[in-house]
Amino acid sequence: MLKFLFWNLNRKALEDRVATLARNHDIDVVVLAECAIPSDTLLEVLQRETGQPFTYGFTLLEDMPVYARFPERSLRTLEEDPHTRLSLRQLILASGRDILLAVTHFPSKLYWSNESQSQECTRLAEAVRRREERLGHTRTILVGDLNMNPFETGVVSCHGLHATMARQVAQRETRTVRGKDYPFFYNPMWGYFGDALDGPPGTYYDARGEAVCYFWNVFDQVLVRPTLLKAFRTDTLKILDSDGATSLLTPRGLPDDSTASDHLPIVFGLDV
Amino acid sequence: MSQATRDLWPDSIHVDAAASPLVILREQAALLGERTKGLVRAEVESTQHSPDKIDEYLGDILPSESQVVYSHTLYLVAPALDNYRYTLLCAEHDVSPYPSRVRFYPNPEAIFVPRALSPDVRATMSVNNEAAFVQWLQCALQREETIHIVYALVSRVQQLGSSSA
Repeated sequence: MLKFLFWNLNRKALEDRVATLARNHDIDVVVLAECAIPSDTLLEVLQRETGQPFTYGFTLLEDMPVYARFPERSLRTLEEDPHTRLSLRQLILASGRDILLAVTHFPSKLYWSNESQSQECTRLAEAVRRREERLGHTRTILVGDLNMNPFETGVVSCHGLHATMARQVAQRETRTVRGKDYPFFYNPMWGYFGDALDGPPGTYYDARGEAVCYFWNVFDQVLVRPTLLKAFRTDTLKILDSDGATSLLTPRGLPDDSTASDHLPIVFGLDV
Repeated sequence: MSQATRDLWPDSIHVDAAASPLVILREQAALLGERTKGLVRAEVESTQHSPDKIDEYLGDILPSESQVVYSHTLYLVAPALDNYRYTLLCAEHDVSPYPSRVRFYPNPEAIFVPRALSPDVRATMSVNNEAAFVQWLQCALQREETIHIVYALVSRVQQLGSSSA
């Protein structure tokens, strides 16, 4: 199984904790956002902690690096868009098949309104679709800090990411709206709101003083194209509250920004 | 005795002789490869957006009768890096090439158009004619961010070349 870790580091020097997570969860692909750690440092710590050789994929979006236990030629950076903060990577598996890994750290609500985010999601989704057409397949996962919850327009709309909460719906592969077909993503993160599960109630906590406040948000997400639904193991998807050794939460149960990040990491696996 | 040719077409049909953003972008894109000895080149991709997306894209600056939005994006491409490409800038317009809405992606908030042209651009990030577009594009291509990206790509290609030699 191919195991992924995604974590927004909030520009903290968390290389030891990233490496601890990679070791404890046997991670193959480490995807980071708001990362200010030099690539040499992180490579060294990852290799020391895991005992595995990691590769750093070339990027001009340097705060969104990808490290993988792949040969360098098997981790290709295909395209990057600084506006939607999108990096399109190609992972070439040992079998020779490839996966399109779309990584984004979408602009925050601090800078863009909900409406702007929705509009720009159209552009993000089109870039992914165009690249899928070029590659000739839709074995795609999109992972990152979307700075939107799974229920927001940009994530749900057919013009945006078109990500649905149910495998059953996503399995239809496309939906026709006004004569045009739009491919689905499956968004398993819908199932991770609130405290019905063992893990934290979301990935990001924001108790702002306004009338509508969700407190916990699920901004950090993985979306899966229907082609990879069979390979995607929902039971491996977790929002982590510990790196396996030390908690990532404060005693009040909130993300501990002083010793970790204001976002919690997610891990998931693909049977490929 | 010769008779003057009658022109019965309406005055409303008139194609402006101004070069469109697409023509100018392609012209500039063709020049980069020579500058970098082919290590980094530029390519322009045009897309046409369907009418149902017009409001989402340009509803604020385009007239309501517009039916199509043309979007021309200039990418920086490194052939030796598996054709890696980086989105640098974009111009969007309706059936008329001007006004065009322009964006410089490495720093979309930057107002870097000369002061003589800046009031319109500042308000809408749109340029109203060929001269304004050329001036905006020149500023964008000469920005520090553009130069940095081109050299970062060149450096990466040369680094790979020396490690495989």
